[in-house]
Amino acid sequence: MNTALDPNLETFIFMTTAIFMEAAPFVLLGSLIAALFETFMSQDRLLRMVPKGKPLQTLWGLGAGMVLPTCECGVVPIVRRFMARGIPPQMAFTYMLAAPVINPLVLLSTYVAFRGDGWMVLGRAFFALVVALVGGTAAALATQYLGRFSPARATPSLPMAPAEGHHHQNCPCCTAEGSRGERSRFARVCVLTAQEFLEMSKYLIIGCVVAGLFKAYLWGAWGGFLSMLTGSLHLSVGAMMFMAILLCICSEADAFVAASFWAFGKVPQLAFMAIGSAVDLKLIFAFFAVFGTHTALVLTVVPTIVVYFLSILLGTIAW
Amino acid sequence: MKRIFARIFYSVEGLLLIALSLAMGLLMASGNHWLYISPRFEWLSQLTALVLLLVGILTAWRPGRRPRLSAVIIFGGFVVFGIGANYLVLQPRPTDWGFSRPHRVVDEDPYKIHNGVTYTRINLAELYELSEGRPEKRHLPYVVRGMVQRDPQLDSVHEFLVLRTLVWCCLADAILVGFRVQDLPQGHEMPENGQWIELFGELTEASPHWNDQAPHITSIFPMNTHPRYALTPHHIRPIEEPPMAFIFEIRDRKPYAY
Repeated sequence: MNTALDPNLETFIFMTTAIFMEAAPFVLLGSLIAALFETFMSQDRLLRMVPKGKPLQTLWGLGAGMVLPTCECGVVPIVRRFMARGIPPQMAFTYMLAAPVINPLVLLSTYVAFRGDGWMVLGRAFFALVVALVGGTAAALATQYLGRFSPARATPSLPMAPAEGHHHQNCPCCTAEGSRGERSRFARVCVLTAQEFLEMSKYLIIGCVVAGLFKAYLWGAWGGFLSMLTGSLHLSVGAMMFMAILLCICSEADAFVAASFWAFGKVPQLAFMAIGSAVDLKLIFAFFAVFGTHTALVLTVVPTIVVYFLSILLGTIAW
Repeated sequence: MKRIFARIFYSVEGLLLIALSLAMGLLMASGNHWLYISPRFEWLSQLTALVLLLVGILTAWRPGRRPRLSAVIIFGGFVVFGIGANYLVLQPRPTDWGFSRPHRVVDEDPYKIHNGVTYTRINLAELYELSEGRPEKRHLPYVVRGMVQRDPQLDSVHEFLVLRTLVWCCLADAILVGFRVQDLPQGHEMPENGQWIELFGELTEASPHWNDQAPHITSIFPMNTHPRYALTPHHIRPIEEPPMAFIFEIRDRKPYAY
């Protein structure tokens, strides 16, 4: 490495790039799945799959992660496409909060990271289910009564729909070679994937930059502060949650980082994993951009409150 | 001419994806990919770069909408300044077939002999795992590599930490893993802070004052030093930083990844 560069700046560059490169494949996969849904799944067929009644929709959302496992980066483009196609918010938000955890890969990685401690795996799954249930319901209510979610806003790149300010003059999308009729389904999937990926990457990059800044310039002081909190359940849970939000670690790898904070005990470790899979910096930016202010606030605040109080309750009565 | 400019303008998003794909490809070709992502996921980065190239070309060729200014600025800025900055920081490293595959370059000889004693080569994360799960193997002689971390508290009892960075997925989840080194052999000086060493020794119970004297060491990664076991060295020698400084692989049997 070039040692002439300021070490903090070097860390910032490495960390920002590393988080982006880690998340990019999953955002791309999410964008691809969203594009495939858009291209190959008709509205009628999709809506026929939606169960009647909120309880069943919630159950479907909770279990869908087992069938369509995604990490928290990839799930947002899928959910916004789902909602744009008429999937009820209750089902979509529950899926969004549950899928990054309730899938075999993440549960297995938690089992390995905690050296076969089944209670940590169960605890993580339990936290995720409660967060998905409460957070999903609250976000759905916020969308229904306060939100400004609209398909056009959520999916500015609906296929071949002229974008805002599109004047159809000399643009390739309106020329013969780009016309709707000639575009193959394959090309359509590719273009939609690209558009979705670019949209989501905006927020991903902003989140990566902020996380990189924290890691490079504040982590040293924060690490020292953290080491003073190990004696207090309330403070250590809060500090670990705050750290998880700032660090933006993928749900498939966060158990290994959580396991390294053995000095805090199991409950703060669970809180770290539970909140990091539902809310982190890159997700917060995406929530606000995709779902509107009210719903984004609910998606950020409700899981945080749920995880905090559940942790305190668990820490008080069980561990 | 107007049509050509319009064509280029509408192709900007596709061109950015192509640029990102090429930047990722160059990063892998430079042999520095492992500094960001575990080599076990290099195939995923390659696949991502390939898919981005494909969708980028198609989007540039047949754009479906007017480019979004915010996406172009943020994404373009990241590709140019973010990925570009990495090339200023990094120097190319030797690679095989143009891509880095350091995790496959494992010395398969599981032992190292010193002073007639056969030591098992093992990395610090593997030794950590072993000390937790396989008590019958704790007292065997091992040789490990790591970086020395000194601290005034530990200096006062003539001890130090030996650490290595363990990466599961990417640098964001990196942690420092290692042991306290206690009971230095007669005649051994304390190694310099930051020095890479090869340590021949065995695991022993950490001395009881460990919890009272657990130092807070500032680092950019969370640190996990074993709370109950320490390394007691038979011999320590300084070495150069290994070509693959991070630990990406943990094996549970010989030959260990070392």
